[in-house]
Amino acid sequence: MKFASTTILTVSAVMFGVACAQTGMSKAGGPNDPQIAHIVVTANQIDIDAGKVAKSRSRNKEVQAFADRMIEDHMAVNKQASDLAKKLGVKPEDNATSQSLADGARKNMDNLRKAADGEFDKAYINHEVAYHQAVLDAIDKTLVPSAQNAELKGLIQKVRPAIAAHLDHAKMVQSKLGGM
Amino acid sequence: MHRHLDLGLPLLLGVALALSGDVIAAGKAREIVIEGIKFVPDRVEIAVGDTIKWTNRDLVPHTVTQGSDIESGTIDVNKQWEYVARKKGEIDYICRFHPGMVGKLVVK
Repeated sequence: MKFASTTILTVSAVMFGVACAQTGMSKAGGPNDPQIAHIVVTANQIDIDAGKVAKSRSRNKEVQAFADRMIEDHMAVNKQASDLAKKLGVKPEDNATSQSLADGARKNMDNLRKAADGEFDKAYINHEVAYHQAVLDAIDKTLVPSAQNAELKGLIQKVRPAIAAHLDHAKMVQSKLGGM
Repeated sequence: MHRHLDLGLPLLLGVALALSGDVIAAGKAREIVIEGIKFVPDRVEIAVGDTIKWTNRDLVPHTVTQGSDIESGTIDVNKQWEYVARKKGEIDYICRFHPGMVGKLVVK
């Protein structure tokens, strides 16, 4: 049962990268700038929402601190992404990748809500590891290569180190929880 | 003297710098930029009385923390925090929010 739950969470996160690769729309099949803006905001919001669930469910200090960081950092990035979109006159446009992300997030939330208290921390952190790895892959393989506006591309490149740091942080907490 | 500064308010910044003239006059001022989840540069040599100013050019908030001796609190995006070195020694500091972010001050 634990294996099944973890597999679903990991697959839903990895689907982000797959969806990005399969739902191409402009340059070489990639998303256009309004779609990229929507993907960025959606991806951040998903992790903010997961962090809020972790804050209410977990009693582990390391997990709580990680969740705090996800909420604060992704909110900060979203504010700047929204400000940039407004400045550029780019209206974020819903798209298949964003919808795939939202579907994966709903499944993740269902799994987190169903997780027993003793299993919650690992379920949350395992998904965070897979999710941030998928976001990194999407940044490198889809979002940066597809972005046309220099400032939008710059914002995505600038956010990459934060996502990489979150991945390292998640792996550290995962290790303290005893691995997957 | 430690203070947070708002880069979005250049007028206030000018006032703040003018008010801190006594501190800056007492030693050199050095700047460390926070960007890409790093302190840049991550090692700085200074003298007692020098003022170090950390400027957060990153997309997310950070801290400058060394045990219980140095604690900036949250340095928001586009904000600054400064610290005056009062004694000789090496100060290894971190960002409390992001494990892996480390810096060193060598106070001579």
